Amino acid sequence: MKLKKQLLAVVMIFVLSLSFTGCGDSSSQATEQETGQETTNDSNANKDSQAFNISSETRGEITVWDWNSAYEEKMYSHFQEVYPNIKVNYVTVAHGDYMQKLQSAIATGTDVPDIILGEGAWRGKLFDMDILDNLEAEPYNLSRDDMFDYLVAGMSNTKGEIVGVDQSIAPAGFAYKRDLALEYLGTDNPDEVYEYINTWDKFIETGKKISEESNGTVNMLPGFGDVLYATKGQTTQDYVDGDTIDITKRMSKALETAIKVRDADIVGDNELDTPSWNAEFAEDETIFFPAAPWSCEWHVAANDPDGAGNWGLTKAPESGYTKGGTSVGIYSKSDNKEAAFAYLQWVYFSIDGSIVSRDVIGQYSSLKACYEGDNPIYNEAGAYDEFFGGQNLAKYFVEEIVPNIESTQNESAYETIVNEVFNKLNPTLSTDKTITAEEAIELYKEEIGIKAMDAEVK
Amino acid sequence: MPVKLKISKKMWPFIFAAPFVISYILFNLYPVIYSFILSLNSWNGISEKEFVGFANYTKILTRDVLFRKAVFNTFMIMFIATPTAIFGGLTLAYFLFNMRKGKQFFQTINFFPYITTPVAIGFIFSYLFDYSGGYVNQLMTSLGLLNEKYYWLEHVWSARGIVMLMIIWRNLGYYMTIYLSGMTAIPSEVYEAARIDGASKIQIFSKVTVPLLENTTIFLALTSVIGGLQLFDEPYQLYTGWTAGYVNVGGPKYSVLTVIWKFYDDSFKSNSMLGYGAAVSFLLFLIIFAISLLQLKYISKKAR
Repeated sequence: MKLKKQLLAVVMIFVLSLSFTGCGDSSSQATEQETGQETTNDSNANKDSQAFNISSETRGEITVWDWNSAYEEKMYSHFQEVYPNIKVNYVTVAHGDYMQKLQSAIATGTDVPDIILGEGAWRGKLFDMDILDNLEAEPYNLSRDDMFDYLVAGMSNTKGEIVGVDQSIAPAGFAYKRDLALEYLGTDNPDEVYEYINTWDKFIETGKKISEESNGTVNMLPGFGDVLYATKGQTTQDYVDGDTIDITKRMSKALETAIKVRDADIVGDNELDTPSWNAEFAEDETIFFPAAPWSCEWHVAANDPDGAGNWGLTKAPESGYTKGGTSVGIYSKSDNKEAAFAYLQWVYFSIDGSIVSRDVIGQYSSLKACYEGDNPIYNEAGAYDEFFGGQNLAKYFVEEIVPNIESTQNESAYETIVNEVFNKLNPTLSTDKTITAEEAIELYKEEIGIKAMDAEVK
Repeated sequence: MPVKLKISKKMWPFIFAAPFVISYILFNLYPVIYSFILSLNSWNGISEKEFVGFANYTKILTRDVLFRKAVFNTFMIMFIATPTAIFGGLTLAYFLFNMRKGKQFFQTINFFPYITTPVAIGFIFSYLFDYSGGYVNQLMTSLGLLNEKYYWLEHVWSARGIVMLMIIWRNLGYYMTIYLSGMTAIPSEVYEAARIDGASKIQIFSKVTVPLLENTTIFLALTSVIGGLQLFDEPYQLYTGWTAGYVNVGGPKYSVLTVIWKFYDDSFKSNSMLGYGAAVSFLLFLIIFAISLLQLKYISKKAR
């Protein structure tokens, strides 16, 4: 009995002490990390004051987390020819799990990648976490003047620091089916097609005509979400000030235009990125589809494999916008910053790397120099040009669409919530045709307020 | 010498129990306690923890509309789906028990949904009920049961209905299997006696089989409630799987947002509020604890 009581007492003390040790350990670990960090920061500070001296002799081993295995399969061997002493470990992390895995890795302090990707869906949250290095500062010395102007805001955190380069430029226009364009517009030339949709009012007018001619079977775009995505992207502006979210300012114009298009009954009823939306690419019911350079591979060619030659690319009404886009940054506590920067720079921000990327992946760098001078990289055909009837896609994106993009906006921590609400409300706004633009704004305010409890939403 | 042996003999039970106890403490008890301590802090997983006392709990209970919704949804879905699945499993088991041919075959195929991965189940159901290309809409419109396609996944009660359907579809086989094993323990003389007394099939089922399976039912009810309150997989996979196209947290008007989903979303998805999420999950722990105590009290009362 006495032994039992003693044993019980021991177990209870063990349990209680575990809990306190738990706290103690984490705080002492935190202190260790802090002091460790300070020491590293000091030595880094000394290193930081000198720029990197990157050459083919640069050594290191870095980890890259990406959901697209093409970089490992197709780019890595080319990278190794230039930097034979840098080893890159690719870890395939699903797009939907990226942030969660990253947070777990950082919280436990293990296996954090050196190169961190920030896709549009979570980029604001990532930048807000303050774990990416300022690439304009020493020792990186990247310059914002070297990247496309419209991208600068989207690659900056709220402090105005450039913390990433674009994985591949994502200016968006409208891809179209050449056979349907010939049938209903009488032409499949991109510039002539554009004459029919160069404003949203013209877009509506053309859509109504086509709907009539086709007895309501042919639509201008797969769904309402595509329209709102475009108008939202065409009206980017800063709207978050500390904890105040001015969603009215941000979304009014976009919703007004999109709802006008909806009410004209000229777009389909397919929700963005669902199987039925993807299936539309191969059907004959929709003429136009939103398209960024990456869409050629992931949407057009993937969904309409037999449609080679039947596609063209033109601009969206009024102005270009960005669709997707992923930032590539360097972890601020990485031990391999030099090797990481060598990788980042060559793969995503150099002319040589961009030429390889154009050939093997069909993606294009945000480095302006690639497209200037006597031999811009789009002089050679890109991977998907033939699919688009021989049209020089890169040239079209860079010369026609990019100059007309207003700008992206600074990514704030609330961007994730706003994107979520955008996706959440699309089906409602699409199917309930009685909702007006003003009512839509109220819905946006309500939904954002539920999720961002501490913010003032107006 | 004899004294030493005496002590070591007494120690054996503890030695044998130690692996379980240690792993329980490490992987169950410690996380629960740490989770509670974390819930008293505000933490985004990266910066330092900031002690806020019970502020998280106050916020959840007074200002968080979605928490109340999540609790309501979880209870609502569980209270309809679980008894339906249990009763369905019982009925299925009864039919199978009396089946002469094909018993093994039907037992096996009925169990398949239980071992199917939730990701696949989410895909199947979100594809079936898709507005444009879903088979349910196509079938019902072609048969004339619907005049136009219905937005199953975007209406509050149809969304809840689909989640309940997923739960029932998934668990029916499991309940059926448990009941079948319970039925094999019932002696056949009891049935013979009932038949001799002139009882009909329905009377045998309701007055003989069901009462004799009371213990099985109690066990299933207890475990299902605990599991049901932790509902996450079905609604989550329905609205965030591959066919969803995008993440729709909580479904239409948050009608299928469950408490665990809310915790997951607050901690890792929409926000990075790990302390807040810990508070949500700890509140759920308290709710499950309270309900389990009530159930056990009821059972022990009945036993007396």
